[in-house]
Amino acid sequence: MNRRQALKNIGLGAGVLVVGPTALSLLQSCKNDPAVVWEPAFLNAQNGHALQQILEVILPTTDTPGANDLNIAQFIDSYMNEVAPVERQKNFERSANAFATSFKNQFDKELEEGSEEEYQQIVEKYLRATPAQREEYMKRNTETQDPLDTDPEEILNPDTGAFAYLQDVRGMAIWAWKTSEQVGENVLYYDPIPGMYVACGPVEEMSNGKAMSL
Amino acid sequence: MSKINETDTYDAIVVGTGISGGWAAKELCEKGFKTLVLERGRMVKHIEDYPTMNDDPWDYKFKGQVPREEAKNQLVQARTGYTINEASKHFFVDDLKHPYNEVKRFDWMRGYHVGGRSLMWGRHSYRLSDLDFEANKKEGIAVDWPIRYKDIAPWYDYVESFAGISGENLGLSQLPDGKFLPAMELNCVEDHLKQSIASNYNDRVLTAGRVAHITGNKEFEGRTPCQYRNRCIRGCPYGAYFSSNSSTLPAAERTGNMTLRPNSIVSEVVYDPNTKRATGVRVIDTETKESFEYKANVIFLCASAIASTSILMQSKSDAFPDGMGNASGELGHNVMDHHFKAGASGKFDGFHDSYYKGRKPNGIYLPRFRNVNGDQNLGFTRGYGYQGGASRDNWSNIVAEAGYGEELKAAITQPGGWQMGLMGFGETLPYHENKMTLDYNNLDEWGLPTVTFDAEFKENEINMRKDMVEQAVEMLEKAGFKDVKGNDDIGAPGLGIHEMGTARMGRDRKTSVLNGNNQLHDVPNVYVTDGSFMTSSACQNPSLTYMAMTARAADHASKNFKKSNA
Repeated sequence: MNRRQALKNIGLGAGVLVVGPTALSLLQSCKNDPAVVWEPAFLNAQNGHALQQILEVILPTTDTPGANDLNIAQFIDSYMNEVAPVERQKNFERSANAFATSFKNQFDKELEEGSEEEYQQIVEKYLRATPAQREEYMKRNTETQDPLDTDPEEILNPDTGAFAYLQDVRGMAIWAWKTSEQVGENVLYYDPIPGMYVACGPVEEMSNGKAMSL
Repeated sequence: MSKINETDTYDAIVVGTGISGGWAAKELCEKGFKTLVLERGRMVKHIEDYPTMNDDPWDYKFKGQVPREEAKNQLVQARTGYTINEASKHFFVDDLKHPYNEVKRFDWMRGYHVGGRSLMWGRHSYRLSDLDFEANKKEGIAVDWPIRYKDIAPWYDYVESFAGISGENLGLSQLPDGKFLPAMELNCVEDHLKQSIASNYNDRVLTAGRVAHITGNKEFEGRTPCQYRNRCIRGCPYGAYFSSNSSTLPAAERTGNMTLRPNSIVSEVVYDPNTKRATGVRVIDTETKESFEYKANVIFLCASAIASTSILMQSKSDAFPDGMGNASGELGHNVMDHHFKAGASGKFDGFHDSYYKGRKPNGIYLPRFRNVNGDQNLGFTRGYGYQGGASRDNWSNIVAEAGYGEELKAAITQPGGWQMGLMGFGETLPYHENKMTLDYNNLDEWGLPTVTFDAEFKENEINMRKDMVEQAVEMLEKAGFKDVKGNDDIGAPGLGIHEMGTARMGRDRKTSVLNGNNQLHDVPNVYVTDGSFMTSSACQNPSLTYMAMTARAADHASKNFKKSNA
């Protein structure tokens, strides 16, 4: 994977390749790709690093681009920074911190020390949770049923927060992936000017079996 | 644009360039009237000024979502939930620059530019019927319409033929047939619901939405058929849907009789007590803030209901201390908007191998079936129609199961499960106490008073909504939809973007503002042909009626007022 090239392409220049003190410490522990350092605009450096690792698990590179080929971590971070309403911003940060706590509780190490396998494990724990487990995670914060709708000042239960965080990140990632140029034009069925309407036909004929990107 | 000699006198002045203003301009110009067309907003030229018409989501940094800082200027316009994004926000006003006041919440959605809201409208086009025109009289509500269906029917024919309306004739008394282009077909699931309704009900029928889009082979000058991009709100480079910009203003332009002046706020209609006629309008240039007067034999106010009413209210004189044409005291009262967002949605487990090609800018219509043949004792009077549609772009259902990784990637590249929604659009009764007024203590940057809204939905609407939800749930369940969920989000008036009734028509000058020709009872050379004339709201989308009434009024004006070179 050539992240440097991908970063250049996407035009999310701000913050990329700017090496600050926190990023430097990250650099030393980042085994995967020491050439590129990303200093998030919204998340702290540790949560930013973790976000990339999480996204690698949720949307890995296969025969189609993965989340990190498309700089989706950077996208989510700048979205939270510039677009998300303040409440959502706070909730996102709070649940990111809850994820960090959950990670430390589970593996007894910092986010930037986690291995690929450990990120696989923690994503699996929450995103492959059984309905009963999900209910249990949600319940641990007793104040409210919706962990993204609580008073942002409260400290989230780590399981509740991590579960909510991964779901949120997953939803954002799917959206960003499907609306990226590479996926929208080359992976999904791209048809900017259909010029016709066929009301009902076989999926294979209508769109080569793919979802329409527009 | 070329400099206008400010002392020029015209045969006619048209205020506003939306659905009504565009039609007034076209009709008056074609009848030989030298016509000045005034628009308060900026110029928007067909095609040239549709900057986002070909953009894809990835052309925007945030896929079309607007950064917080920028969004601050359009928080009211954003109440629709779909208009304030990078693709269309430039066609909606800056709320900080154009404030108004809300005694009760009113969602006032505006587009200040040439073409007005004809550029971003929903394009559904339905005729009213005598069920609608007779309802007030039969029920003793408000005042009687001064017209009946036969008065307007030929004008519906006329405007449909020019605008291009695709749809299907059904022979229903409550929703008269029209001059339609081929209907846009129903997709598999929409058709499934249609068949189910046909076998389960004998009082209702589902059809394709009747929408102002060109389909089929008929030729339209400067316009081509729909390309099924479904990007209408951005302006259509094909002119495939009807807008002032693509259709009526070019027709007016071709006559050589039109002078179009953007950036021109009309502050009042000027009145001559000796002749008892309007002599022209007073205009403020939005850029220079200079004020000047234009003269004409006949004035058409087509600025949208609230704006035309404001202009009349601002037109005070000794003869009209409470605003021009307001002897009845009804000016500004009887504000109506359709109430909607009540219905149901459900998932359909089937047609897994079927999809559609192209993005249809339209869905279904289910015409009114309540209280059609007399009062059904349902706890409400009048009725509602449904709009909606089926699609399989919602992938979240599949995706919820797919977890993450390769499995997830495979799932999200497939078409999602089918789902269908039905949303009722209901008639709102005219209540005298639902009103707009002017606040002279809060002036806008041009020194004009701001509008204050004090209007609400009442018991009849609320009772109707329960039925809108129940019937939608029942129809979907009978058709085998799963996870059918009713929804009812009444919101506030305004969101239907169908403001109506503030200068209503009537037979009696003591209880109405306009006569049956859309003339002010008291100033016959002033016509008002936007939503303000609506004596009742009916439940149909109203734009087609504005078109027909405007063309009819222009015809009346051409027979009753002088033109210079005739």
